[in-house]
Amino acid sequence: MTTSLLPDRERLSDAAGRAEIVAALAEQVRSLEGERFASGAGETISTGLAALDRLLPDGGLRRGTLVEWLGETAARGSDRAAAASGAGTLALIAACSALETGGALVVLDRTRRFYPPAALAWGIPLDRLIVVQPSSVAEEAWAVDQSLRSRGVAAVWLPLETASEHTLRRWQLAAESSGVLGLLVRGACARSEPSWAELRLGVQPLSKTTAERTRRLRVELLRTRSGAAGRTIEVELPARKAGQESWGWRGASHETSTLHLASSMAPATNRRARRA
Amino acid sequence: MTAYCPRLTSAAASGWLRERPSGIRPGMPLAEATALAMRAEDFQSQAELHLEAADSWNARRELEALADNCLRFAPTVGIEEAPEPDSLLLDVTGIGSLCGGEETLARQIVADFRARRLTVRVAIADTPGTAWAMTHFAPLECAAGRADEAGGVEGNETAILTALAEPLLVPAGESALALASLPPAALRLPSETCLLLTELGIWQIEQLAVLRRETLLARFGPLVLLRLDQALGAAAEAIVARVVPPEWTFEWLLEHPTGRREMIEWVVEQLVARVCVALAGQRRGVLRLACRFTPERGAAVEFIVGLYRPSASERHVGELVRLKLETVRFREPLTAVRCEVLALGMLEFQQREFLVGNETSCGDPLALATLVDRLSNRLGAQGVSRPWLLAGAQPEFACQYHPVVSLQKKRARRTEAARGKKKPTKPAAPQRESRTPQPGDRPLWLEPEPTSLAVVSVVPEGPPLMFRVHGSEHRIAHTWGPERIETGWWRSRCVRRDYYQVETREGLRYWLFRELNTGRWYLHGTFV
Repeated sequence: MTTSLLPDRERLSDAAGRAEIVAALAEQVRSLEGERFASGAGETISTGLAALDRLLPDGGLRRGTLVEWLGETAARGSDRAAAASGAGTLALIAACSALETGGALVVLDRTRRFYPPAALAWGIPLDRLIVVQPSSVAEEAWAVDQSLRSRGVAAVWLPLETASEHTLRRWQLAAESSGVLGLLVRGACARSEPSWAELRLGVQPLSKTTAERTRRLRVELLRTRSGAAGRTIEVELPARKAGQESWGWRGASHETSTLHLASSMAPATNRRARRA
Repeated sequence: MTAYCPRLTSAAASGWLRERPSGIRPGMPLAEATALAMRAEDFQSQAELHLEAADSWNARRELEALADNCLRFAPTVGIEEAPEPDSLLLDVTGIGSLCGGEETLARQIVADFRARRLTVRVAIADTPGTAWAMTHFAPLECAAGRADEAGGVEGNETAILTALAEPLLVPAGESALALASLPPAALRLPSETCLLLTELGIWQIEQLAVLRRETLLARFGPLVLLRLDQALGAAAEAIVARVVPPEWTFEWLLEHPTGRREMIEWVVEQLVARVCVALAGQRRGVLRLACRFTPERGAAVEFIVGLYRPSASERHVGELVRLKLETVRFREPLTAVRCEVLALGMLEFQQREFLVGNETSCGDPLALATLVDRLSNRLGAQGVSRPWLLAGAQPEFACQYHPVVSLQKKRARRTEAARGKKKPTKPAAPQRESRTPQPGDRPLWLEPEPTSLAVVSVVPEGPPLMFRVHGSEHRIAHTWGPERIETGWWRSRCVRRDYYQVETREGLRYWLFRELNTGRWYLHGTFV
């Protein structure tokens, strides 16, 4: 095994041979890493979007790993602006896909802003959704760690501003031990930070020329442990499923006129008018 | 069989007391009773008349509490089976000899109730029917005599109370004799039957007893015969006994007060182990456990540990208690530690999968229960919750959170009684809105409070063109809406809003609304 790991000097000089060696080494590293995962972990699940699955090296997300979704924007501004990029929605769709084999979804909501009716619309069954509302960053880190360690959980979804490398490493080990998928929704500033995540995806919304209500997002594979990074794709939300015409938008024809709940009464008799 | 029938004072005894001065009886129409009370000579002023609606549910709870208390006198205690019960039935067969005679026992019961400021009438007879008849219809002869001697109203009341406290003992085999002079109503018959019997000239039970059984059956149905037989001992009548769940309380009294953390933790560990062993023997598990720490001086410290599923695992329950214990500080040395089970449930056993080796174990409900327990006890019950959709049009009120684990201090027996009907550990499936929300209809983030915005729009009531939020300016490329929401008039103020979904030139999507009353713009949600 040791011999196979060491590259041959003659082949190193050759460009094609070098690429081959790098691919072989990457494969070996992956097989070594595979042993770390607990039973059930490492299994690939779909992101819920076929185009996105094709972008990822494993054809999907692997259980027992952390995935970072970085919201990015072309506009200048803080991370708060980038929050409206759609990265959280993509992560939630992936969580919905992870729930298909059982388990619960744990949502960490320190800012008390998570809105479950929207999650239900994206297909999250509310009876399998547990919303945890910690009151401090320390409590949040602990709760994420505990959730990632639990075998009863399918995925953990949380918006994350900052986290120390140490915390992220802890989370990664926790996820590996149980096979839980950790979905971290972060701002663009996390791009420069080191990561323990298996995948780091940048999500940038695209401006549209049509007035359709669907959303176009560009997803870039920023970092991956296996395979090449830097590839991008464009996805549309909500994506139309095979055999489905549309998600059934109600369109822009919202009722704005006054709706009478009680039927209107007959006009009162005007006695004065009658007298006159 | 010997049975007791203590009688509560609430309505019945006051009927005895007030009968003479005012003529007020239980069952009388309120207007009539009020008029009589106002006319009564002993009534001083109008302000003293106090009326209160009868609360049969609470009366039942009170009666149950009294029944539980009577378990010290008899092993079987039941509540009379009637729509509005007012009697307790005690099976005291063979108990009298232990207390120095049945009369002594009866006097003990009367004294016990008097200590609670309650007057009861006690009768001991062969059958529950006879005992009930004696307590409700045996005349207060001595009371009338003494009342005449005493003369005044106050003396009369005292005499009646003394007479009520006298236990009525019906010697064995003399039930028929004791019942002979009582009216047919003493047989617990419906008022219509009693009225009919009175019309027929049957005033006493002895007149009823000599009639032919076939005639009675044909004329009044089976109930009259059944009650007569029950009273005389010819038909069996069972007392429906109250089942009282045992109190699961374990206490450790420390010989020398200690403030050492390790010692306290060890004691708690021991107590939790005792709780778990005791419960596991009955295939039950803890749902809520209260731990109380009594210091040498000052107020006791108490916390409650709640569980998602019943558990009798020492390790799991102990860990949850330890998590809570870490957050508690003791200023004084402790003298006692107590663990009390507030709610329990049946343990659920699950067979392990033998042939399923390295398959995915995602979705293990036990693991999820463990996680929820840990999170709830560390972050508080409100910190771990399930969303619950409501049929509210206003976005803030379309959803509610319910804690997954309850940490409220409720009595164990009530929760256990309720547990027989439904499973309280799991909330029912959330109520669905009639309209299924569409993806992208509502934002994934909703601001706890709508943020005020500076907005530029072309027409006064038209869609926005530009807005400024969090220090950055956004130019709007597309808008969808308005979606008008007018609701909430039953709350403090009516809500009238026009919601717009807007997409900026960069593709960022927000949920804005214009308050129709004021014309101001607000940011309410973000499509993250």
